[in-house]
Amino acid sequence: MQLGELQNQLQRFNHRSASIIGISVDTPNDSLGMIKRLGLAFELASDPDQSVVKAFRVQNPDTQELALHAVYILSTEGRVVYRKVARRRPVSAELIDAIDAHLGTFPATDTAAPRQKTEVAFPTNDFQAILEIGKAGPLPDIVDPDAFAKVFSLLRSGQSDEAVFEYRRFLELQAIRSEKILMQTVRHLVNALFYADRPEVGEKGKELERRLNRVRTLEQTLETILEQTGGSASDEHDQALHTLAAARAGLTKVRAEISQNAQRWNLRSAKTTLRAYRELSLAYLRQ
Amino acid sequence: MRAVVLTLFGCLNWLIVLPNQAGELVPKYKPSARAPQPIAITSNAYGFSRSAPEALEIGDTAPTFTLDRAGGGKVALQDKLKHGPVVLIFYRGHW
Repeated sequence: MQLGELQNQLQRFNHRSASIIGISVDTPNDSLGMIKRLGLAFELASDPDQSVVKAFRVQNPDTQELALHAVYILSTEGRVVYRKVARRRPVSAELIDAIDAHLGTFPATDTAAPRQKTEVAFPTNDFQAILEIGKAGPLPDIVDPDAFAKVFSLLRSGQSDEAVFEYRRFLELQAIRSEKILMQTVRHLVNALFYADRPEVGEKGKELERRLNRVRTLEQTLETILEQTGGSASDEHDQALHTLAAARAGLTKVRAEISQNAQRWNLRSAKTTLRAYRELSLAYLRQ
Repeated sequence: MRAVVLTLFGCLNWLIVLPNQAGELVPKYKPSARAPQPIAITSNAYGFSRSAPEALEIGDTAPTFTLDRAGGGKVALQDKLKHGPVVLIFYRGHW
């Protein structure tokens, strides 16, 4: 997804009188949620029966219910002047260039305008960050060291194309790894809370909670990066994020229950909930 | 000197602008990270995907449509085209 990134650059589209329409099979209500979440100021349209997707012939061959990721730019006569179907998702700069080429004003006069931080997030800013992190010394234990080292060494030797490829792998591995760590942490946390009436274990629980928060922050950063960079096109990865979101939602719910029960000093009930949740998370880990 | 030029070239190969036959400037990007050469982003080859070989091509007339809009009302392509070019983003949804 790069809808958030488009929103950042919306002014540049407005300057060219270009409108943006996002089309998906989501209901208007679901799309409205996304508009609010990402703060979008352009329109999202619902195409539940895929009539437009079919008319553009960009149906996903794997799942008939979804469209491929595709971007089209139409001239005022309604002709296609740019398209990108199921490729690396374009950033705004590319779309702006395509519009300018069509309008005959390329290269644009505003390309030298101060760029927002997210605009060229892929790859320059991320790579800069990786180089800085790599030079700074020991990695946080959340980061997969081998995958990171590969990207880092490729970047240092200036092989940017290979680095892009490895970077994508790194992000995917990282998502899986942080999911595992998250679930481990959940298990420890649940164990610690289970014995929370013992003070020395309570301290351990607090520490684990801090760790869990760190994992969450990392996950959010990863998601932001994926959004800014147009994301990885891999369905497995989308799936992983999805599962993770579900796990997170479950955790929040159970923790609310735990604290509610604890407040009522209904320890037996709290312990039952905890035991049930421990079973759940163990089952999840075994998958 | 040559080495410096090559290194610079390596850094900038995300966007290389070369004049086309008519002498106009055409934006060129690499279609994928592993593509050997940047090509004109306004060409059919640039956005082609084997997953959708039949997808509408450059120069085709797009079908018009009117769809339900998030937040109520309708979006009509014709209305948008009156004001200028239109960027259509098909995304997978179900998030």
